[in-house]
Amino acid sequence: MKTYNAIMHTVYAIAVVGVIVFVAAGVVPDNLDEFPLEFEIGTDSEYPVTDSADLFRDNIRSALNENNVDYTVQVVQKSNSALIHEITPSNQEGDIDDSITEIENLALIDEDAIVVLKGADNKTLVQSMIMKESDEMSISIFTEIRIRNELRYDLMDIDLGISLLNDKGTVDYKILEGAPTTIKAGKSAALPVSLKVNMLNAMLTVMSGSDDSLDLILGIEISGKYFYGLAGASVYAEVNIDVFEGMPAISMTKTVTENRIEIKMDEKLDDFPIDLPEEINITVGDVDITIKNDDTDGLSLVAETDGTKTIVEALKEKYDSGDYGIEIEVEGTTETLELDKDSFAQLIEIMEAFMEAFA
Amino acid sequence: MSGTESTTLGQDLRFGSWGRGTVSAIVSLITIVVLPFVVLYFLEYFMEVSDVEGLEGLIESFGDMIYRFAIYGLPIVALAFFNKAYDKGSKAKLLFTLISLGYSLMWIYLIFEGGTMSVSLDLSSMVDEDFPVGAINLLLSIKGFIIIMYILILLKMVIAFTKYGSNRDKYMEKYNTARADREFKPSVNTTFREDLGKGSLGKGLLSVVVGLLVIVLIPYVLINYSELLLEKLDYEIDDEIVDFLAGLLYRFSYYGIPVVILGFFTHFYSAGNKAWLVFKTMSLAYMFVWVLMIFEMGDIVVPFESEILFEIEEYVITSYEIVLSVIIIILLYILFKLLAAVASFGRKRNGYLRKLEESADGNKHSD
Repeated sequence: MKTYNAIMHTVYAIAVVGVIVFVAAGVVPDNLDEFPLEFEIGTDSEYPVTDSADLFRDNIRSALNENNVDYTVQVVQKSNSALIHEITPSNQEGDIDDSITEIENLALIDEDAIVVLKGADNKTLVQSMIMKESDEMSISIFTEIRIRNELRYDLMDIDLGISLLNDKGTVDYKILEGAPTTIKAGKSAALPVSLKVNMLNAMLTVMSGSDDSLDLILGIEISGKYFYGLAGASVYAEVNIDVFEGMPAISMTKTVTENRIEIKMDEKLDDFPIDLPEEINITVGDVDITIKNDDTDGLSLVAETDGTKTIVEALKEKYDSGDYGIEIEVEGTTETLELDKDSFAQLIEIMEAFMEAFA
Repeated sequence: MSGTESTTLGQDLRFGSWGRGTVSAIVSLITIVVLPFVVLYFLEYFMEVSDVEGLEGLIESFGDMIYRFAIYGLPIVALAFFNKAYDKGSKAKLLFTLISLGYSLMWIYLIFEGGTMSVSLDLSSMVDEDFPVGAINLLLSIKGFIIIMYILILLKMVIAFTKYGSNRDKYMEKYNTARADREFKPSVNTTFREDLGKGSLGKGLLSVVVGLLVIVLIPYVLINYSELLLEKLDYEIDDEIVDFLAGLLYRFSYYGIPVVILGFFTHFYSAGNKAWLVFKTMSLAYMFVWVLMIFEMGDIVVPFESEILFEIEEYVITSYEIVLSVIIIILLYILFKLLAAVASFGRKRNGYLRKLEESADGNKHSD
């Protein structure tokens, strides 16, 4: 028994020392001259050749401005490093236009090609964000959060989620659902941030808040695990974005029933992230949405069904049919926009939350 | 001596030491309840006087954790009494060790709220106007570590059994000796004069050697070679503090010589001997005076004594008050030791007399 006792004490002592060493090693970085974690927001300046000319122009300009370019930048094909065109500081705008023409030519030969901006020492330029192809109803932005892990253990399942909320927190519109990433010890990794904001969803989110509020809250959640998953943390922060900064005080009235939502503002809305025409008619299945925005009557949004079903029921019916298209009529022109499945599902969620809050 | 082969839990429960249990409970009370509450008090004070706007949530969460540690730790204080009161190898010790460890599982769960702790920070006043962050909620999950702690506790439970098994024989020996001592009816009693002649010179001399080393030699070296030592270490201490410490050591050493001499007698005689009780009492009584003399009857001049170390509301704590608190704690400890000595004498008297009679019988037989 004495031997067994001695063995057990030794095992216990080794276990305790092991735990202490394990924790201490995880807290103290491998290289004391470096920060344990380094963060950087930005992504390589590379674009698919199928992007529109306007998008190319905006993204290339933004890359050149952010990098304070006073040297020649090469536009090259990513796959074979073939030079497409050079952008010189002396003729920047002209060279951008010529580059776009060359890129459009390349798209005719290889529509999957990607072009990259190379700066001094043949390094790829980095820019804070890249605008992606958007339509009348949505805005897409792409960037990356680059994290360098100087700690001794891997950072596991690092995830980022971003939501839009109204000022009461009753409506939660997810605009980014991240993919968990593991960052190995001593290595860097990039967390892709691909934001796609459906403006109809965003507008409904804003308007579902308090009567006189147009506050848009950005809910950011970052989570991850450390110590081989033994410990984890999740940080959630809310950032209040004043989308309508400088606007005079507004008065908004909302009339909400199960098959009709009416939101009225006395003032015209000029400063929404996308330009609102005087009248938009949107048809989503059996739901008709009319947005009017003019100097005389101000802004109004009416969403209604024919009365035989509720708005949520009509939207669900449409969702179940597998057709996520919505018809938009602006100034006499009608076009159909395909929402993706997730955006449509979120539209239903927003409507449900809206009903819960007001009906 | 005919001994019991094994004891029952009931017998073991009656065979414990009140003194050891009490000391352990007091120490646990201080470490688990008193100190955490002192820390909490300082945290609250810190929050009041410091500009920690936005971090209140973090400090409050930390304070709540300390509070849970202290409040839910109260049963551990009570269990600490029983844990220490019994000897290794006792069934009672095994029982209370298992209860303590079992409760520790729950204690850890309660302190860390099951492994998921939430902290709210309001950084609205600290952030950039362009990026107006409101509340930040931090959710910490340490469930994995809680499982590791549980595994360590379960390992301790296994150790409790192995410890019980490996100490059982030794415990039974002690139990049987104590029982024999308790049941022993001395045929004769010894007087103080008789007891004076019965001691162990070896133990007494060893005590003198240790006493001289600790009370005389080390302080002498520190007093005379401290400057050289500080120079070698390239370390500077304020002259006022050096003089204060040197004076303290000098009085510790000079007035400590009687403690060394009395130490010879307290170790020369064994507990249960009347001479031991007399010399132990004298030694502790002198120690009481010794502490007072070291600190100059409480009139000691403490460096920077007027300097306020802490100021909490209307309370002002100076270095002199800290020294005074230390003196009071030491004196209380000496008084406690005096009571323990009297109790120990009463408990061991029978054993002492039994050994005397047994050795006298042995001598008779050998004659």
